[in-house]
Amino acid sequence: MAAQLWALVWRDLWARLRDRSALVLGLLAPAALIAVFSLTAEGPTQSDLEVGFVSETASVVEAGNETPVALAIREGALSSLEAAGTVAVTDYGDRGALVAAIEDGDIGAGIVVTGNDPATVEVVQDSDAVVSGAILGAVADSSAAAVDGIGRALGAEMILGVESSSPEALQQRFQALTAEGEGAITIADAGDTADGAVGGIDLKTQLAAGMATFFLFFTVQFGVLGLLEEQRQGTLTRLLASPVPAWQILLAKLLVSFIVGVASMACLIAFSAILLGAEWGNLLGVAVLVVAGVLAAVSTITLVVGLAETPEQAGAIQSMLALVFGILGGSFFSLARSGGLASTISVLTPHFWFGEGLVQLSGGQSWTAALGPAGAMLIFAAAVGLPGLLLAGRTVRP
Amino acid sequence: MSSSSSFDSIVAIVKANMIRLRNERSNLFFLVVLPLMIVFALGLAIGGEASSNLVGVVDPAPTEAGQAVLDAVEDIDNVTVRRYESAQELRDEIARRAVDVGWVAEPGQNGAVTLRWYATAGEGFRLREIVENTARTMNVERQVVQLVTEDAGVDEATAETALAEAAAFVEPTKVDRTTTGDPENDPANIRAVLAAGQLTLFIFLSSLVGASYLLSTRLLGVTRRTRAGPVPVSAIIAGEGLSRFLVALLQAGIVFFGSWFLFGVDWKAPWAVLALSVGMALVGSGGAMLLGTLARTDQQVSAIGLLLGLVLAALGGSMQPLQFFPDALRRVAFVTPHAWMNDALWRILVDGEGFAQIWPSVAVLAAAGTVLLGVASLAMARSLR
Repeated sequence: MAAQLWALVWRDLWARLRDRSALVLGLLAPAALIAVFSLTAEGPTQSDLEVGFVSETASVVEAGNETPVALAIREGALSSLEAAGTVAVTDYGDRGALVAAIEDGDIGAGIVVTGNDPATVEVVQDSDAVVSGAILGAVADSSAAAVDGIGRALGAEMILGVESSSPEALQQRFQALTAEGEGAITIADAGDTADGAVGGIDLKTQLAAGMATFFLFFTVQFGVLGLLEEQRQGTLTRLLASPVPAWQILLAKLLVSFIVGVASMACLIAFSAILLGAEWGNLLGVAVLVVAGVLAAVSTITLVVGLAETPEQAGAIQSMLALVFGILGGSFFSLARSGGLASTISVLTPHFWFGEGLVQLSGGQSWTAALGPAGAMLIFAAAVGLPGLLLAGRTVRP
Repeated sequence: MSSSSSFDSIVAIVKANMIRLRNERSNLFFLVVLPLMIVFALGLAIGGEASSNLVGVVDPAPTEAGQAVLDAVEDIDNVTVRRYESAQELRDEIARRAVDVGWVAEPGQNGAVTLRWYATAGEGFRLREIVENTARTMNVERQVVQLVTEDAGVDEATAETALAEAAAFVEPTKVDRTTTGDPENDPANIRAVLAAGQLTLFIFLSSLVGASYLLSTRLLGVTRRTRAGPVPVSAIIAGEGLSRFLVALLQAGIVFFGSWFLFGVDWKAPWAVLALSVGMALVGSGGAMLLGTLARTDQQVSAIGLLLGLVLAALGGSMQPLQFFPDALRRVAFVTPHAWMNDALWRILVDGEGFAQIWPSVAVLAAAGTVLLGVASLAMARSLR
């Protein structure tokens, strides 16, 4: 009996291998898209934020004795941002040159310091350079606050009769306090690595998983959909007349869909991991997700075949479902970022849960982390697949 | 064979194709619902709020200091703040890349607060600079009090009084902000660019998938039988080509007007966008004729149609604007017709250019389309002989 079953499965699998469209939809198309996406995911060459600086105070104060706030900004804050690789600073001769550079698009924003005692700090930004503008704004604020604070401390110490008080000494001790993080607000890294980063799913893996699951819903057609094709060609009637039990015919088609789906997912995971550096996480966990995901996809096509009358109709409905699920489930772009209703609806798709499983596995979690999301996919598979089996079962009734 | 009856044959073939298109109800989904649904969903997912830097905040017991940092961050144009109940919830959102960075505020003694910082791996440190500088600004007050109490050996209250007195003599540094230029990346522009990408994608994809009509006409022998009648090969080719072209134009019209009327997309220079669409429709119909002539089965048409339709669109900047591509890949992208159209659309929608500037792109598309149609016609003529 098992021999008959495998004969049926083998015959179909062989036919699918020879008909290249299964290879195109199951392997070539998703692999090509994964490759393109993993290239575009790197984004434009990340250059430092280009910013500018001018101090027009040099004429007011003695040479080599710059206004404190200009020094605090240029030598302090901007230099350390430059050292950290966040910004690249260009110095300009006067405000006009800096503004012209912003208008030409050479820099996004700049700081102009004018006057002395008190100095005026102007943050000039292009309306699109929101990040540069906000960074320079925050830098200007903190530098001005520090210089003013030291000035007031000096005044207060004079009032209180502290004789040893000097601006340089106060400045140094102030910086030491800042470095110690002394104050009302402390920022502490809380993620998994030094910079507070949370070991989540990386963009490449997210995109690869999206494409693999999106095409999975097309790939599993090659199997169950064959019931309708064989019905039309008349080969199904002949099969039913043979001593092969009807349930075996249905099971064989289901197995073909399942095997094609698992093979496609396995190849795509291997492809993206080995050639493109996607990080899928614990292999056993990924295997659990793949099996649950393929079962969800096979259930869908089974219900579709049960409801449809012609293979064309079934193919069209399955394509529609694959597209709608893919879009809602975040195969192409994540609706999770939009918040609101859209991110709630996406929870209804197996695509979402496959991705969620990878999120849970990310950061080196054990395979059991995938069980919850896999369970969600199995619930989907049961809810869709059981009525599907009943309906598709009618097709193989003699 | 008079030219008028040749014309009648072309009209008859086109008409038959259009009736088939109308009769297949799934076309309502693939040509109308699907593209507009994607334009809508993209607007949700990437346009508007989602395009900004998303910051998650957990702050169960708000403090003045914590609020000050939050205000500073909320003031930035492209930052959206979301509230979460627990650190775990925030962590999960960051892990699934639904939020970029965030912090959990933990109140300490005397109104102090510790911000526990979380970030998506490799991102968000620029926002961190802003938060750190804001914190520095907020911390100055306490730090100078500490300096004065230590130096003068007085208690905090005395130091604070002396500092307040000194403030009368120290004129504070003024910080001004000036913004120049018109905003380009406003959400409406981004939504238009996203809709534009779909316009390009669907003109080409729907054309290719529509090649199955041509194929089934061929497989069923209709084409051969038409040939047996007094209809010249050229009329059959023209009729089929024109049918594919009209379907491509129809798809263009649906995305163009649908996203305009339903989602308020501003096409800026509508005639230039339409000219590009016509160019792309030529490319699409050429590709469809070629595919419909060379393919052997319906499955092949839909598999190859989907493959080329999606891969070329992804490479050509329909799913992510070319401007966000790595530099080298952006140059490679121009092997696809999509990149020519998407690049011109970006210039229309973001840079404010018009037909006068983008006509070379229309010319490239029209030329590519004409060549493809020519090759396809030759291939079809051979297959009919």
